[in-house]
Amino acid sequence: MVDRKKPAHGFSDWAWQRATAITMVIYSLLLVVRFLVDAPNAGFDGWHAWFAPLSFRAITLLFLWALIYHAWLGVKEILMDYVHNIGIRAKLQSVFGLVLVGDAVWAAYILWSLA
Amino acid sequence: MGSPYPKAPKRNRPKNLNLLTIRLPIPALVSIMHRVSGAFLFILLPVLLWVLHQSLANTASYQMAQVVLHHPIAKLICLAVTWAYLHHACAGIRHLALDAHYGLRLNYARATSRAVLIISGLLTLRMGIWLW
Ligand code: HEM
Ligand code: HEM
Repeated sequence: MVDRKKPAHGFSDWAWQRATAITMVIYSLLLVVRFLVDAPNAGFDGWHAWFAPLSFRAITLLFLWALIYHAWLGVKEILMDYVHNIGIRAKLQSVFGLVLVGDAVWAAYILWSLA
Repeated sequence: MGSPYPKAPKRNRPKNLNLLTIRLPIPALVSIMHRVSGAFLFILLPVLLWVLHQSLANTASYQMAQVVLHHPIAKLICLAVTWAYLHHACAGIRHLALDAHYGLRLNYARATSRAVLIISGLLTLRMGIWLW
């Protein structure tokens, strides 16, 4: 549902949902192409080395952050449709929001803690 | 006395809420599956991050992840996640096309819905063959 009292806000959520979706499609295609032309070597060392290039880690983190923001917008949309009690909806939004912020920090930690 | 509002007219229209006999149009099916798959992916996200983390942290955690992932239930989850992602992505791309006013005519809307189901199904099948 669009909040008609705040059209600008509604528009930017809509636009961000699409921008993040397109980011994910592009990354997914790049990932498949890289798997085909430059498959990782078997075992931990090969897999680890595959993630070594800074550029790859950067676009992977960009993808994960796009995914997380996209999921946040989508989850809010779903809650808006099914949870009509404002108090309960606010609580659920806070819980899911905290989970997603945690996911975002975790994603950065996973990719940046690689030596 | 009574309500200041006029009474709503009494409606005696036929109702059919029997899930077994309702015919859900294909575009509606693709749409609801898009929502369900999005919610499913959101719920599974911590699991995905956990797998990524363990696989990259060190040799021991990598081997532990390998053991966990080779469990048949893990493979089923992988297939479910793969299907959800592929369906959601294909239906999402179709959704973007509709937003841009491509494919709005009913016969196209039906054909592209069918294409979403078939393409994501075939890619998932391919993935299943790979996994087993
Ligand atoms: C290539 C990847 C993806 C594409 C192209 C995509 C596309 C879209 C689009 C266009 C919408 C808007 C639908 C609308 O406005 O009604 C949407 C909604 C949504 N997406 Fe995605 N998405 C992708 C990946 C993901 C992932 C990975 C998640 C979860 C972690 C996700 C979760 C959601 C949710 C929960 C919604 C709300 C569904 C609804 O309101 O019915 N999406 N997606
Ligand atoms: C979007 C999420 C996921 C994607 C895109 C994905 C993709 C893949 C790919 C491309 C492979 C390689 C297949 C091969 O080389 O044989 C694979 C293997 C596997 N994945 Fe996933 N996966 C995902 C999530 C998961 C999850 C959540 C689990 C389990 C909880 C899982 C379990 C497995 C298993 C068991 C294998 C087989 C490993 C092997 O046989 O060597 N996957 N997955």
